[in-house]
Amino acid sequence: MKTEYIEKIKNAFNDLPEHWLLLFVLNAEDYLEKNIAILNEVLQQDDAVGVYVTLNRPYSVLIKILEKNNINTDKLFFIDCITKTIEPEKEEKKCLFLENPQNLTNITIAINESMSAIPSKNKSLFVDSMSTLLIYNKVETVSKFLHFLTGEIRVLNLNGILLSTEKELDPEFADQLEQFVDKIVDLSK
Amino acid sequence: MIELNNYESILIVEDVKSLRVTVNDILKTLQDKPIIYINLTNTYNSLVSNLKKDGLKINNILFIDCITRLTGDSASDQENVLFIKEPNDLTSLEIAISEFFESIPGEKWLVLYAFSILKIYNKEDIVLRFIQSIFENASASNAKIVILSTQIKNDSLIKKMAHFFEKVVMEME
Repeated sequence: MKTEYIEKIKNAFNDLPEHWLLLFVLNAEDYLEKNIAILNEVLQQDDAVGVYVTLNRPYSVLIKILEKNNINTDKLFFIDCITKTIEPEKEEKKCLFLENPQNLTNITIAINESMSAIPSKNKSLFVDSMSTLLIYNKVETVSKFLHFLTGEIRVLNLNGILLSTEKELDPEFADQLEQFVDKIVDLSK
Repeated sequence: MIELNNYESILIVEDVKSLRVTVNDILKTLQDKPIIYINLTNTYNSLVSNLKKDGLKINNILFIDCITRLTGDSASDQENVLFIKEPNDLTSLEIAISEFFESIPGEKWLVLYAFSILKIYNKEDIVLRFIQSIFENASASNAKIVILSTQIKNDSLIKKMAHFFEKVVMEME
């Protein structure tokens, strides 16, 4: 089973434009395992670096999980939208802590600033996950945000990996989201 | 593939995967004619690079980009591209289309891809009025229209505007 989804992840990166945008649809049950496999695939190129927006797990928890799974976290900068709701004074060198997942403008600014500070040409943005944005914001607001964000990913010549759990997506939103990306990879089955 | 030349206006509603193929087929079929291409999901630079990669000639295409400036980029208009500040600025979009219509003598095609994005930014009746006005402009300027949209669940806008078109291709689930 594992080799099957690993193969699917590898194939997902075939036949894409120079800079690409992918949406991975995952199951809640093995979300983390597949998320790590995706990160591993993207970061395996020598010059690949990324910005990881975490809306699900606090940075302190996420970094331990990634390191335990041999992900080179030195290649990543994190934007944490959860921790500050509990620990307002938190500061870390490799992470920017934002107030909450409701402030989409702040998330955009943080992404833009972090990406501008990274010199590599092979930069990817990971958003984990779309479904969580919908818990905190209205569908219309998230649709506009994602249209903006995917536009920005293209203007800045970045690659984008959007993660989502299928069940939590509003059907109308899912239809819109599909249009913003180059490919949808369904790993939920 | 529809016989494009047989119709003045065509509405195509398909799933995203098919729609991406269809729009490229349409651009390929029309590549020797003047085209005004509005793609609401991609930026001009990225589009041009993708179209070239797919082997499409872009010499006859005039682009209207509604995304690049939305992200804060200060891209300047060029001979073959106009940048609209945001997709809720339908007046500017309408003006840009009219300018292109006027600048091209004879038959020309307007291809609008990912139409449903307009609904994220505008109320349904505003989008309807915009479409109506595009039709008025097109008939006065010898322009033909192809609008491509994805299937959006519970979408009433498509149903309300379908009767404007001479040909409707709706592959709904």
